[in-house]
Amino acid sequence: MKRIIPTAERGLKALSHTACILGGWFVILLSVGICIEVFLRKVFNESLQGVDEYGGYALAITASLGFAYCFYEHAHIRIDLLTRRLPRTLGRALSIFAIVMLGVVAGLLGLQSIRLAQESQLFMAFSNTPLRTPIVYPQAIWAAGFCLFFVAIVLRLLHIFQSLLSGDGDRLGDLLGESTSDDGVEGSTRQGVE
Amino acid sequence: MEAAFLFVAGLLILLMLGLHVASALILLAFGADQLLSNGMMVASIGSIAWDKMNDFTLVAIPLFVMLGEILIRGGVADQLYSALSVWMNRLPGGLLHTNIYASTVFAATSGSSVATAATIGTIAIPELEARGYNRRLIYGSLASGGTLGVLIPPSILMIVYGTLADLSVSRLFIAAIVPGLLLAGMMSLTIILISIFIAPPKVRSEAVPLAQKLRMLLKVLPILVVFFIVMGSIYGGLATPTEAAALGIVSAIVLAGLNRKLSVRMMHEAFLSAFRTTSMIMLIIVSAFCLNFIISILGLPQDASRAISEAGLSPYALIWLLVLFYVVLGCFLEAVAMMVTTVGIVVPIVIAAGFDPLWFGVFLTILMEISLITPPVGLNLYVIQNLRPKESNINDVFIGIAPFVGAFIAFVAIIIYLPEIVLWLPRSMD
Amino acid sequence: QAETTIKVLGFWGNQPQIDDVDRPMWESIEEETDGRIEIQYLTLNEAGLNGSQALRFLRRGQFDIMTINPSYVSGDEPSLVAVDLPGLAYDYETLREISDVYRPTMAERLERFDGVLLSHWPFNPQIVWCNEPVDSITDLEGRKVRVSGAPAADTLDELGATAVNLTGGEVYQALERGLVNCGSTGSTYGYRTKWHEVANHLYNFPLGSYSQVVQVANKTFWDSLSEEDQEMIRTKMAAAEDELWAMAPRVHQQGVACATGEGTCELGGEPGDMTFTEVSEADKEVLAEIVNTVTIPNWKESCTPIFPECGERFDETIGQVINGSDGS
Ligand code: NA
Ligand code: NA
Repeated sequence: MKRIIPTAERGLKALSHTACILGGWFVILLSVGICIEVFLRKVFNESLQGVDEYGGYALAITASLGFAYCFYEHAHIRIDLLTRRLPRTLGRALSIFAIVMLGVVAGLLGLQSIRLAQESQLFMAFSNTPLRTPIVYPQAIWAAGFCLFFVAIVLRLLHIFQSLLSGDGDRLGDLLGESTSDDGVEGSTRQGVE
Repeated sequence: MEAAFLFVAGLLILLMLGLHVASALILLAFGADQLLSNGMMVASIGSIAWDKMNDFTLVAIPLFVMLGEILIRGGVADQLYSALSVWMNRLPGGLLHTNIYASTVFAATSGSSVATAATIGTIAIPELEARGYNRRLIYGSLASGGTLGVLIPPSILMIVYGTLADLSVSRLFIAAIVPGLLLAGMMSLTIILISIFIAPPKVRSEAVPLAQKLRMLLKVLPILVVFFIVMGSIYGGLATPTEAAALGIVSAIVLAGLNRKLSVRMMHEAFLSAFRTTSMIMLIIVSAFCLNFIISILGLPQDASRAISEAGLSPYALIWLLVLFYVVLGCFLEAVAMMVTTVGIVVPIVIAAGFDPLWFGVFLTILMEISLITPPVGLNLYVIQNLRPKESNINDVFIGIAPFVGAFIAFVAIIIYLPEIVLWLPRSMD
Repeated sequence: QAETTIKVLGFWGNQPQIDDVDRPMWESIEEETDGRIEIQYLTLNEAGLNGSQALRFLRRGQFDIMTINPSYVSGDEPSLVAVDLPGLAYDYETLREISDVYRPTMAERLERFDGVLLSHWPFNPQIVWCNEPVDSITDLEGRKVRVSGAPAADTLDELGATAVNLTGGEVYQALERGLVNCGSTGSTYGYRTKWHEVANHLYNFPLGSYSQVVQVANKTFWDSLSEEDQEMIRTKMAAAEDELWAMAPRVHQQGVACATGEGTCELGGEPGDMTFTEVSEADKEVLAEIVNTVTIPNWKESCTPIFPECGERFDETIGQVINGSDGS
């Protein structure tokens, strides 16, 4: 039991990492496709059908597959300005609470995205474009991203629970991402929104 | 109006408890749905999430983020900084101006303020600390210069605004060019004024021969080439903003290849970094749209516009009220979430008061920039804070930013009373 | 205190059909029942939705009454869009006949989404705005045309034109800068978003069809109403429906008058001076050929897997109307 959770978490981390690398190449491929589309349209008045359609799927899928990776990197924004100034135990309790709530949200999104994909299969839904793509395929991969996100959070919570039981404070700090920023917002170091 | 107030208060409490921004937004939406509506929201989030995550205009976001990440790793940012520094060192305030203008040029290829602040900050802080510049001014100029990342096109926030307000992202990009450059000038002026009247720098810089200066300027070219490919293809009717981002990515890869920085490893680093940003933003966008949905179902936008029209405010009073609202809210909220949850309410009111939605997009983006540099929650402040040497004091960042916040407010006033600054370029292109 | 709250999802706001007829009709119920029935009416813009998920929302009961555009949801239920394929009808009389004859089929198909069909009506024809002259439909060859949806894209493909997918807000800029040569939208929407400033030719072919909508109740909700209330709502909707059918050609004319500057422009603003071209008989023949060889077969192919009789049903209903009106 002691080893299973950390090993599973390492495995999932590797999986989410790989998903991002693949997603990245997909985005590059899409960019090249768009360049060809722009060129063909300008010069030959032709169009590669469906670059925009697949671009939409690319965004949906790569973003959802990236959720778990983002979680491991502590990149989902959270304002821990206040909680860091609280006594350590209380601060950590709030950090764990935040992860639990993120887990609730990820679980709901995962469940509802699976339902949406199931509905698409039931309706035999396709995209309203000349390609008429069966929509269940991109939606299923997209839903898988949410599920990966949810499983990542559950494993992390189990891991946290384990280190609480064993009284390993340093490991707990690592798991909660305490080292990623010294004050302020998690994970805004080199990347970020605006 | 009480309901709107309760939503803001609820959100702030959830955020201050340390919840992730995305969970705070979604949990608030569910809570409101359970208490005030029919509780059907949970079943709809799959549809809402798919609709927003599958939107071709929003595809521009990961593409512009990726573009910035490839350029950072392609070695163009260092060249840019050194090239600009030889031109700025004789101005009052010296190399501090380089922070502003390097951010300005880098912003022309990056859609994100945080990426801009982080990229220029990483290069500038060690260099300027070593030369003995005033720390507060270093941090202030970097944090505020970085915000140009969302004003000077391309801009993630403008893509979000264009999607929400059903406006042309291309036109927003073009409208933001002149205000972006003027704002950079305002920041530069702030540095000059401080250097003359408050804190004259003790550093002396050596003169550089003009020939060398011109030679250095060539190094800015590559990044300008990417900018002209992106904006030129939009302006030339060759591409939509999303397509222009893709053209930019391919040209950035070519550029990295020419700089001998291109490798599979470098690309993978760029991917991972781009996904950290993209996925984080998309989760916030999805959550904010869920909250937006429930807010609309509860009829809050109509209530708000009714309350405002009954208050009988003059257009300028209305706009200044919005400035106050966004500056205060911006102290605590993250910009994308703030935009998604408020634009649907605010834009119809602003249009009814006779303002141009294009102008308002630029104006709102400037207010969002302020939110990036106002404590306690200002992402650019945290970026700079994380880059500064450990022995420096965090208050240096907060004090250093203050005069720049002042400059921003002055600029907001200029934009309000001279809207032509925003509207002139897009109109003259018609 | 209200006994019942009806959540109504309308269509895009800021058009007379919604602002002057549909919304007031629903909201009048509140007064007429002395507040016994409360109405919560939202347009798509207000709800931040794009309408493509409408059938899913209907099935889940998120709204009680939904306004659904068959084209938007043709991925989920392809059979409905048969009433709104481009090239089937050039006038509202034919369109109404098509609607009447196909209504039982639509009602039947909506049942699998727990929907009860209540009404069906059109908006303006989504005609073609070009920045280069169009005297005939064949002039579209080699042009880049902004449309949405598969049937319009298929039609353009047959004409040798390129379909470009753009969001509505991007079209003005795209026409101006030459990213596209043409776009399809309703005359009033085009005029209000100032397409006449960047396009000079208006070709009166509903390439994007008539943007028809159905209004559907969630079955669970509908069954919960008393028979009197059902009857009251049905009566009100039927009256509004007649008004909306009569209104569409009028609104179309208003938009055309403003965009071309011919006649009086009642919509405000600076009228344009676009050249207006009607569809000639020769053009109709070209289009009829495309409809019969591509549009209808493609549509039948898309609906057959989920609704095997859809082809036959079409021929027995809409097929009869369009062949009849051809005079054959
Ligand atoms: Na930018
Ligand atoms: Na702030």
